[in-house]
Amino acid sequence: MSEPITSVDALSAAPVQPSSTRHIVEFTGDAAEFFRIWIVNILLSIVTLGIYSAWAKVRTNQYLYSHTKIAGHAFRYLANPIQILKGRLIAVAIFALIAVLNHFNPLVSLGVSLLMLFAFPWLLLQSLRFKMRMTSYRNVRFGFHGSYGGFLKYFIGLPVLSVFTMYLLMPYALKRMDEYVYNNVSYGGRRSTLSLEAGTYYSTAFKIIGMSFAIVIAMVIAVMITAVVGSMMGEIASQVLSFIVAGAFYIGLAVISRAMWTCVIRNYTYNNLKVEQLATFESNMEVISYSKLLFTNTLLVAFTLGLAYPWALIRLQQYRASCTTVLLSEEIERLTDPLQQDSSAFAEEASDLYDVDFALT
Amino acid sequence: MLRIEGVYLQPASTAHQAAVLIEPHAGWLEVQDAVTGTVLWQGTDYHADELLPGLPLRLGFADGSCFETSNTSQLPSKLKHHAKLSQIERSTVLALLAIVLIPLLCLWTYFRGIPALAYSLVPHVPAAVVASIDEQSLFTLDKTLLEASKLPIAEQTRLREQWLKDFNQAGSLQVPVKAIEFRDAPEVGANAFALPGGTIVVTDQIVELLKDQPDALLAVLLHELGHVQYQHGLKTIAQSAANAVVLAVVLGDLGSLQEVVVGTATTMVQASFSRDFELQADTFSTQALKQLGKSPNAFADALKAIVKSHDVDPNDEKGMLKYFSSHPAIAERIKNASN
Ligand SMILES: [Zn+2]
Repeated sequence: MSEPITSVDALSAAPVQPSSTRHIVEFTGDAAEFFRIWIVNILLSIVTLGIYSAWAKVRTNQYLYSHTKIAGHAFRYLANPIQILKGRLIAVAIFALIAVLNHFNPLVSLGVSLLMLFAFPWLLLQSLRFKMRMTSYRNVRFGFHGSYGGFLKYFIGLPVLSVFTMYLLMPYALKRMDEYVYNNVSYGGRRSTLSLEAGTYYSTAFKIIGMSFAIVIAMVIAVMITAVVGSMMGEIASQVLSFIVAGAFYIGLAVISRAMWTCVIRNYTYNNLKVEQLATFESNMEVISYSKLLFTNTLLVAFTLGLAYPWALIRLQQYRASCTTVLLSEEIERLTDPLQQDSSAFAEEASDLYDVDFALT
Repeated sequence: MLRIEGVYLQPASTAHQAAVLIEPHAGWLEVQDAVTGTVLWQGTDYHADELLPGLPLRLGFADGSCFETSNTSQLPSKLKHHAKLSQIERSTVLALLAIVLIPLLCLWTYFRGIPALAYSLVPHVPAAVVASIDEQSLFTLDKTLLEASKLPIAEQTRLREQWLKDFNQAGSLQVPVKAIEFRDAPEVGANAFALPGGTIVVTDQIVELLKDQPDALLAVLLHELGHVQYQHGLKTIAQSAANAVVLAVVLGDLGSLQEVVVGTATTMVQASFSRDFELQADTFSTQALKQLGKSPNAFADALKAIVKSHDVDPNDEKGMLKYFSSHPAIAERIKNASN
């Protein structure tokens, strides 16, 4: 699975990667095993009126993280269920307060909407920070260094601005969002860097819009044909058939446009992402195979009333892992995080609210 | 003695070495280098990650170092109970049982659990909030469905005073009636309703309809008094708010909550109580009529007259729904009230 890079490649990558080894990301989770964990956790969450859901989240994440491996080493999810429970209790208290205040005065909901606009960047920052801090690989933690101002600018400012340009600015805004997030991630104190061109974002957006038009036209034609054919079998048969055909096209459209965006943008992002002196990445997701996966997953989950969710999730993780390659330099063997080693400073930074999970993801 | 082979990971570092975990005496752990036997860590202060089927055991130490092993057949004595959950998660029988239990529990929670929880909160709602709910509701109703009463003021005062006197004679009131308001309601027709905070609204149409049957009209008022006494309005609000919160938690989505919450504010105005609440108020009314020495049939008379005024067949559930979404199976209620 891991083979030394050829000498030519090594030379071209020389300034950044002294000598790297290629590793395809592995995902070793088992659907049947995960199903049992998942369903028992749901049951316990209901029986405990939702309190156990914090433990369920930790266990689920731990299962998924621990089965994701690079070079034989697994990721680790470090969060404590109490941190997640705290976040959820605070959120529920706020919801209940809003629900009651709203009966007190219906105008409250208006104020809440406005407040949410400004709370959203903070929540996003908080949940990314928590998620990164709680992820470790080979006993070294990830970190996130974004700021409220940054999120306000790129996740509220730019999208709002793009509305006034008839969304022409939107692909650019999405590019800046991706760059902002990936430029603020660190591993063992080393920042990752990402620099992108907006061109790929625009061409992908236009391709998706063009393809959507084509699919909608195809759908109209297909529905008309079905209606004509079906009418020979009676009115009800015709309606049912048309409904099925339209539904299939609708799911197809949703799946393909989503797959197109994910594949192109993820490949582009990963192929340009690097952690100085430590790692570069490759992603080779394919629109057709990823669409097939999403489409069958959707049908699988829908027709089993959600019971097949664990299978769908495991399949997705397996596919994503198999499409991802990490090139690790030798430095990975002797990496230490000075901040994390100074445990008192680490604990101080982790105090209070920083250690509560307000997951948006 | 416990002895497990595994890997020791140095504090905040990717450096690691083969190591052995031993427990010389209960509670005390030692991690030794597998080759040299040097003690790498020892003590009682450690934290174990949740144990899961198919995953290694991980112990985290205060200095940021950690010990990992895929051999989970033996566990340190402190962690014995830890393994129980992962044993449950391994069971296929339990997984199958969960598939059956989960939908049943969801239904029970929705129909029994959440209402019970919500009702227990009702006594803790501050009086100021309760009062303002009535003001807000009446304000909204006046803007939409209701108009100022066309009854002479003197007639309003006479009826109000008579009813309040009857209320007091009917028994000791747990929750005071806040006010009795008269309104013209051409769209709603002959009806009366109780707002959550104890305000009773009576339409001109029902006063007109039952002007020759004062006992029947009193029976309707007593029914509304029943809603006030049992705090059906507040219970309904609490339940819809609790549903909104639970839904928001389940969906984990702030946007949906907004809709649900805003939705309840407007639906509350159309005040539809559950069938149980209606029957409870019906019983209250007939009991109170007996207390006042009046015929308990007066309430059935009122129901019959109201149904007739809306020109629907009491046995036609669909037609009834149109006018009486708040009064399910009215034929049954008339029968109950006639006994
Ligand atoms: Zn009623």
